[in-house]
Amino acid sequence: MNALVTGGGIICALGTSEAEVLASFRAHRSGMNAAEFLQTRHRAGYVFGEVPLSNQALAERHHLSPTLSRTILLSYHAARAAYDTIPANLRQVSRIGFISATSVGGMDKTEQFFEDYLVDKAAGDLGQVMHHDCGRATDFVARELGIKDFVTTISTACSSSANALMLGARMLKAGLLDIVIAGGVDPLTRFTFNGFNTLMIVDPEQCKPLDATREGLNLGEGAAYLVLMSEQAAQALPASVHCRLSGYANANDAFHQTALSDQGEGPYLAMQQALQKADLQPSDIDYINMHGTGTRNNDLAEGTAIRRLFGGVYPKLSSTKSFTGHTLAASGAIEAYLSVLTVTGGYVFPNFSFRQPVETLDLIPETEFYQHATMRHVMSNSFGFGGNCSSLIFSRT
Amino acid sequence: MDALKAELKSLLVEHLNLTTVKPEEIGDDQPIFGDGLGLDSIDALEVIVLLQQHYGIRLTKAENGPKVLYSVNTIADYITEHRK
Amino acid sequence: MSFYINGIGAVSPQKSFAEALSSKPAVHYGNQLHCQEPDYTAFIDARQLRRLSRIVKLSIAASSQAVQDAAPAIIDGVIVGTGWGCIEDTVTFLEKMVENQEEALSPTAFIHSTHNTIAAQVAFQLKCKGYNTTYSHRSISFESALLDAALLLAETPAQTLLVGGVDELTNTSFSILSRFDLFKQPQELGSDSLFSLGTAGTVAGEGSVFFAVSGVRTEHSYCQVAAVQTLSFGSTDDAVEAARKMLQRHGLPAVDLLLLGNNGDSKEDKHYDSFETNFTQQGQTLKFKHLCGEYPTASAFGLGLGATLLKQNLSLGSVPQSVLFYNCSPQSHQALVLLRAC
Repeated sequence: MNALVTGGGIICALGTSEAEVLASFRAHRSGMNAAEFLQTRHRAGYVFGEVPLSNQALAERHHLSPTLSRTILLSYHAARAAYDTIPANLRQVSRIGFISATSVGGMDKTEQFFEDYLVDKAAGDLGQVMHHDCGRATDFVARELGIKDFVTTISTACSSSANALMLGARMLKAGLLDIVIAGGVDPLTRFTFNGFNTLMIVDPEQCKPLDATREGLNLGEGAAYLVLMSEQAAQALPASVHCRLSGYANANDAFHQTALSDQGEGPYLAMQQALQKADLQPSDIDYINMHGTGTRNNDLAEGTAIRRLFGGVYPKLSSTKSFTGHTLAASGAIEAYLSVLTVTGGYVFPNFSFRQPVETLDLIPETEFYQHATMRHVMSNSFGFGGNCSSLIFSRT
Repeated sequence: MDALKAELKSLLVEHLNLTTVKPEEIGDDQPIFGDGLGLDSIDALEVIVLLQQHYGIRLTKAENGPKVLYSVNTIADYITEHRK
Repeated sequence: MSFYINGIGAVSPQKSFAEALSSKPAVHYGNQLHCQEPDYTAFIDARQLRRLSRIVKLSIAASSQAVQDAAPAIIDGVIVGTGWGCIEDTVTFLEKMVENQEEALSPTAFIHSTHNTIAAQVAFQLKCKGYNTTYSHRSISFESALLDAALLLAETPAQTLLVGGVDELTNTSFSILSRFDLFKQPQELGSDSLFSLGTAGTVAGEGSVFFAVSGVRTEHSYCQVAAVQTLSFGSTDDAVEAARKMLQRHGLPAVDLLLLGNNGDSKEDKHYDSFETNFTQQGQTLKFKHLCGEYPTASAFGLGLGATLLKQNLSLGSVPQSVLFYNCSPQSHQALVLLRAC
């Protein structure tokens, strides 16, 4: 039994809704800009995929307190949109779960707290640091939506929300739930920006995934959730089943805390096992939304793994991180959302720019946004720190 | 120059928490990465920070690393050349 | 959805579960219970040891013990639950970032600050390329990991997974948590008197407990994990009802032992009292947080204790055949785990 995708919600640098995100791609307008809200002292020298709304504006939209963490505000925005796609009568009779994912929790508030706390251990607003733990935002959003049949949070760095979607599908399959809202969130924080910067893998200018001249990633922020339903629950729906989450797999590179192995062993295993799960051959895949961060290491390892698995006959592929930035724990869900659009609408998402392929790989990404009639099976990759690698496959119903 | 090298060795041991190595055991020409001292790419980044903190020297591109950070000798040369 | 616990490893405020269950468990004075740490060179190569933070060392030691204990052919996956994650490294980087005003920061603390560092380093040590994930959801972080394992083992019983519950207590975490009035005053107690004070607040704890679990029973098996369930935002009555249904599904009229997560805080313990009363437990009741302190994944310690009881039959009068574990953080999450002798 496959989990069916029946709806979702998204917010990222490209917009606060599916329509706005698609409009950005249509206009070939990336979300990478100078930061307006992130209070880093390095903001002048770098571009960020920042959501174009202040905390105040996000809070006002949803009648929430502006003192909440940005994590909560972004998560609520996307999860609410996803939840609202479930018909009211179905909500009442179904066992619904909320599985979220984040890598930094409420770090945006914790780093403010530490400014005061480090001066005086008795100082600092506890109302800020209380948002620190990963589960806090998940609980807040679940309560607001009235979801209580199952609630949890996954934190596996950049693959977090792909794993949340995977757990959702598995819980449906096991018959433990009827509907799951699964995805993830991460806000831009000084903590993550400075962290990635110490690794010297942040490109101050627009990132160039898959390009021979790539120099690193750009950070972004956002949230996305998909509504997954069991076949039985979806029967009650009119005709709004978008696609199936037909394959998924999680593997570990077991090589290095932050770098992938040269042969991309973890990525290879994740993609191969996801294909197995979906009972598909590599040639069945029409498009890969790559993890494609734009770092030298990731793109080479991921590209090598794709070359090994697809044997030189590549499907269409690209990295949408050149439009959204790397949204860390949210990236798996944001890219899953885009992959669902590829299956349902035939949208092919491009790289923002591309000049020169990596010599050893000859992977040429799509560079223009267009609609292609038949996109049956789409793969979405999410890899990250700790060697955590996950691949998802979405298929036509 | 010898004082600088001795200082560098102590800094490496301290900063990288090399509990199994004594500063004087590190050879001037010994490769410090890979099989030499067994350091890796993360240590390289730590050494870059160390150079910034102690000598005010910025290695802006990680790619310059392998040449400059090859041994205590090459690091000392780079410091001498770039120190203000 | 049932599976077997075939091996256990722990680094905790107690030297071992056997000691914890003896008449003389380790007593800690003050309001913090820290782990009794082993010599890590027995578990980790000295060259690697230099960069690993304490929470990772605790976890590599505990997971290695669990693997040794179960002696499986291979480990097929690693699943970790951690409420706080790698706080020490997170705080190190955060402090430097604030103090140095975002200049001249070193990467090591950052790369080890993510919650999945624990599961990643455990997998790295074992060269385990299989399933690997990390849950961080407050007091049900460990139970979420356990539930994930149950799902995987239901699909493929013939495999062995490592499931851990890990949290560390640091000076900073204690200093900040203290300001939320979570803990008793230090002069009040030895940890053995935790349940007799009747005052507000608990004691802070930490620990790393790993289980080697499989769908296949072995001669090493401690017990069967018959059911795992988490409840969110419900009442104690909801938990009682869920517990009754859980027992019914397994054809049990009652359990021999109720293992409760009381933490000595009068405000919280009343929820456990209410659960105990309404569940109308016939058999024995056992509490465990005086042995390990309160922390988000303390339930992993509790479960280790329950599993040890079922294996070793260190009977409390009669030999338990079934244990129901109940842990809660009032107003948010509750967890139930049913263990059976095998």
